[in-house]
Amino acid sequence: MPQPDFGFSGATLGLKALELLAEGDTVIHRLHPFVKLMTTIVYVVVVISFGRYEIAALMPFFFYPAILMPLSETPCAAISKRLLPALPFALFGGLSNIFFDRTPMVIMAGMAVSGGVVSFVSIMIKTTLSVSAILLLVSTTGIVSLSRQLAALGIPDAIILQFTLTYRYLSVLAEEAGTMYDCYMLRSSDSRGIRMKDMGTFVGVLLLRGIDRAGRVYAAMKCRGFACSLPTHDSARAFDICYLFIVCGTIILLRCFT
Amino acid sequence: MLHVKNLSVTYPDGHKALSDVTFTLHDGERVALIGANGAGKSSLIRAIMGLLPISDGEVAVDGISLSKRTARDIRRMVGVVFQNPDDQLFMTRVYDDVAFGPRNMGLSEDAVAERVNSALAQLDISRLKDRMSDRLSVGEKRMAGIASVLSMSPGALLLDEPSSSLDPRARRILITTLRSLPQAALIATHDLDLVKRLCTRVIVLQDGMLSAEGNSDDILFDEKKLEQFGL
Repeated sequence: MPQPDFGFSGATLGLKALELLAEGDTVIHRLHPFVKLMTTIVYVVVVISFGRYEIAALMPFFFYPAILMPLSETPCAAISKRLLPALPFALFGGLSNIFFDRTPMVIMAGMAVSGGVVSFVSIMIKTTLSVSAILLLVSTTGIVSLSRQLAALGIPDAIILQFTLTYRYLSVLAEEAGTMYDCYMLRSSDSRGIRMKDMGTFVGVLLLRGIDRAGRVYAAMKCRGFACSLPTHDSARAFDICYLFIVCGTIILLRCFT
Repeated sequence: MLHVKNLSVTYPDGHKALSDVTFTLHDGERVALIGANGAGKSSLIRAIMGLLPISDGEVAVDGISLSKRTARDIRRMVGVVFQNPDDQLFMTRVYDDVAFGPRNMGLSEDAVAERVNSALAQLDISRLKDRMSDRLSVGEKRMAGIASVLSMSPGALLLDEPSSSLDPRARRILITTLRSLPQAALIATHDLDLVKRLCTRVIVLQDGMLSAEGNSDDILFDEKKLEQFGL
C-alpha cells in the first residue's frame, strides 16, 4: 500500500523527533550539558586537525559515535538519516580535489590512487564523524540546554538568541509551508508538486506568513517572561568531570599517537 | 487588580485601534470583552501586555504602571492566553511549554517541576505532560495553553477567544475549568453563551471605543443593543 507523502510535515516531525530523543534517561543524557558540549568540541577540533591524506589515522575516531550511540540508546538510523543532507556539501567540496590533485599517493590492487581521491575520502570521513558527533550532542542534550551552555561559556546572548530562534522558527516555517502545500495540492490534483509559475507566489506568501506567525510566537514568548537571556544549569557533578577528562584525554592521546 | 485609563493605541499606518478606553478589573472578577470583528479586543489585550505601543493613557497592574521598564513585571502578574493555541505552544513537549515561563523566572528545576505538575493537575491534564504539543487536539492545546500561563501563578488572566474551534464537550470543560480558577479574568470573545455562564460584567468595544459597560444580564438580554453593537 503506498504511504502518504508527509512532505513538509514530515520534515517538521524529523526536527522534533531529534529533540524528543534528548528527553531520554540514559547515562549520556544525564551528563551535564557543559561536559557533552566540551567533549564534542574537542572531538570535532581533533578530527578536523588531521591532514588531508591521513585516512588511517582517522579510523580510531569511529569509536566515539560507535560507543555513544548504544550508550545513549540513539537509533543509528536517526543519526544516519540526518547525516545524509550534510554529505552532498562535503561531496561537492571534495570532488574538486579529485580533478586538481592527481599526484599518485598509494598503489591499491596494482592501481595508483591519486592524492585527490585520498583527500576526498578524508573529507567525507571527517564530515561523517563531525556531523555524527554534533547530531549525537543535540539528540542527547536538546537545543534549549545547549543554548544555555553556550551562554554559560560567554557566547554573546545575541548570537545564542539567533541560534535558538532560528531553530524554533524553522519548525514554524515548516508548519506554515506544510499547511500551504497541502492546500495547494488538494486544489491541484493533477499536479505532482508546486508548479514553477506558482513558486514565486508560494515562497512570497510563505515568507509573509512565516514572519507574521514568528511575530505571534515571539509575543507569546515575551508574555511568559522571555527576555533574550537564558538561565544557567546546576553545576557539574564529580562523575561529569571524570567523564570530561577521560573522554577528552583519550581523544587527545589518540591524536598524539596516530 | 488591573486598571486601564484613557487608553489609546494608533498603528503606524494611522489606524486608531483603541480610543480613550477606561475600565477596571477587580480581584477574582471575570469580565467579558465583547465586540464585532475588528472592534479592538485583541489590540486591547496586546496593549495591556505591552506588546503594542500606547499612544495615550495608562495601564496599571496592582499599582505598577506599564512602561518599558515594568513590562516584565506586568507579564509576571498577568497571563495571556492567545487566540491560536499553536502560537502559544512552541516547545516540543507539553511539559517544556508549561515550564517555559517558570524557567524564565529563574526558578530551579525542582521548583519548575512543582509548578508544572500543579498547573497540569489544576486543569486535570496531567496525562498530557509528555505528549508532543503539536499532536494534541484543539481542546487539549487550549488547556495546555492555559496551563502554560497558570504555571507562572499570575493574578489575572487575559483570554483571547478561548472557546473558538472547540467542540461542545471541550467547550464545556473549558467553562468548568475557567469557573474554577481563582484569578481575575478578562475574556475577549464572540461566544455570548460562554459570557452568560462565566462573566458577571461585560465591556463592549465598538470601533476601538468602549461603547457600553455593565451587568452581563442587562447587556446580553437586550437584543436591540446587541444589534447596535454589531453583535
